[in-house]
Amino acid sequence: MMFVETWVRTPVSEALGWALFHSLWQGVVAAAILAVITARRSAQARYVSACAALVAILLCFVHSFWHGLPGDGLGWSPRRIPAPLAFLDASSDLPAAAALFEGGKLAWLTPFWLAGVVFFQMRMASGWLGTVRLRRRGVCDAPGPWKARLAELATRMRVSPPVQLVESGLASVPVVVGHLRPVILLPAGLLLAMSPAQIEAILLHELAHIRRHDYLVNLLQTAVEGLLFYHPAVWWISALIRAEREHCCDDLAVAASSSGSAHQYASALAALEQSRCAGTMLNRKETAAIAATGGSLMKRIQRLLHPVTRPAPANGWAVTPVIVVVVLASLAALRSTAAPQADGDPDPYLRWLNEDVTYIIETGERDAFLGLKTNEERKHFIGQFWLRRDPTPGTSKNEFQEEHYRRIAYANERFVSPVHQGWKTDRGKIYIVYGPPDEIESHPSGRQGGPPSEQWLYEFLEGIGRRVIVEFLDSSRDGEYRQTRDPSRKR
Amino acid sequence: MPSEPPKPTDAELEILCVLWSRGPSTVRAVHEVIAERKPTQYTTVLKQLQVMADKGIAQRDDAQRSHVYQAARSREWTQRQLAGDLLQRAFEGSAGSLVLGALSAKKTSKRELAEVRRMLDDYEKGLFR
Repeated sequence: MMFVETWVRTPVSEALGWALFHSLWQGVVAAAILAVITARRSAQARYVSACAALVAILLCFVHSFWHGLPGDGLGWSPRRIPAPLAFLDASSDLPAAAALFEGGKLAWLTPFWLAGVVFFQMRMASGWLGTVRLRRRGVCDAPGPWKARLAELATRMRVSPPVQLVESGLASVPVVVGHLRPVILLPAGLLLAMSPAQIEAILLHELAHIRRHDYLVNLLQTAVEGLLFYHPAVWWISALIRAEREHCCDDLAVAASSSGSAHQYASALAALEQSRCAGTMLNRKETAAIAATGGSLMKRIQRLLHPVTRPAPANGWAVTPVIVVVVLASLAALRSTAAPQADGDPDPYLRWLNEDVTYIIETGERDAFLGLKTNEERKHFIGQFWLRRDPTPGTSKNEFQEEHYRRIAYANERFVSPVHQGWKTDRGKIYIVYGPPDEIESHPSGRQGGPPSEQWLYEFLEGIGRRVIVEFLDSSRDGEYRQTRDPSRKR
Repeated sequence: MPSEPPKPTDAELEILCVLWSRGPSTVRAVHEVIAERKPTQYTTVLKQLQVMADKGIAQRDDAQRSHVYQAARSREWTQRQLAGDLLQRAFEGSAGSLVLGALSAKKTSKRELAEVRRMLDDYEKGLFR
């Protein structure tokens, strides 16, 4: 539990939480667009668009995550969620409560998401191992004449890699396995049971998969499913890709068959399904799966037999620009929401108050700032705030302001803890308020068996005194140094 | 019916695959197919077939001069037998979506199949009317 909590409090987790959140609407938008523009397109067009939509959702997810990370190329400036001051001050006492507010509740989604990702990717890995086993276990070469016939069909289909034809005692339907060295596995005995014309139709379908690199695409698709598994739109799009992939292969196989007859091809599919069902109908476990087919075979055969209902085979690539435009537009929209504008958005001002100057602003100033109504007033206030502290008011340079931001940058660079950004740590806070100490005594591996510690010596601190020592202890030994005494209260 | 044969080992499954694929075969024919994938001694195949016959996985027809073997059970039966195996089940669940076939991993129901048949017949009638 401690570990999960620590993880949730990291900026990475927060960024992930936001990316997960944003992907919810992004996926819905992508699916809606896909449904509208491809309603009456060819199988190939629908397939390409669905793949593009899936890629778009993934890119949006990566994009939101990337831009949600702190730093974002600027080196500093935590984003979006202003840290309430009350919790900042109490951070050493109430780390968990502070994290809930600082990190936002969305970060708590990420442990669940990660668990899901691990589950789905493991499942995919085990499936992949299964296909590797399927290639080798309980197989024998198909008879020579059929291997020769396959080579002929492959040339007709313009399939370039050499394709192996193997009979398997474990496969219950003909399948393709492998991308670089594809193998077509036929259930052992199928070659004896079906007519040569029917076998050819099935081989053509499998060759179409190889020609279209479906195995590789399907592998990538499964990996993406495993990342975005929580999203119903992703599953819908993925199922669409799977269905249209088969339609595309049906079309290719009919076009390449010697008869060119959709009816013969459809009969071959039906015969194949019948031979499978006849053999295994008795299996209780498998009958449970039957109801869930959604009639995919029937739809395919209907589609093959009645090409009238098939829309004109429009160019599959025609819709891709639309998807690309949509993706770019949504990325742009996201960008503008991620980078708050100077006007009409209170965030940058709140951030200035709660992050930039939170340690140095006086209570009276804070109250005055919070009382301001318009951004114009706030802008003016910030100008005056720095001007009051400028040691050389006549010049264009404000040494105080520059030094202050230098300290923040330094703290962020040097005092990062596993949980907090540098400026939020105790050492960061002291550094930003009092500047570099005159001496540092550091015991990174602890003193006399004690925890790692650091003592900072300030020769003189205004309002506090001479030779002030501030001590930091990493008592839990996790890189989080905590201040042991308050220099303003006690010498 | 004699008691159920035990689950075949991987080597036995390979030989069964040949028997299902080629139908009843002589030891020589089985050896030829096996040797295509990996160098194997004729006597090894012979020995394995004899063991399989003893276990009841394969059946020997002694009527002819050279013994002809055939699989005792169908491929579907053996697949069901192996599906009891945990590894096999795990595979079916996860590999099913990774391989690509002319048919989906899930089966079509009997009713649907009958409907498909009817559709094909109607189409044919329409063609020849």
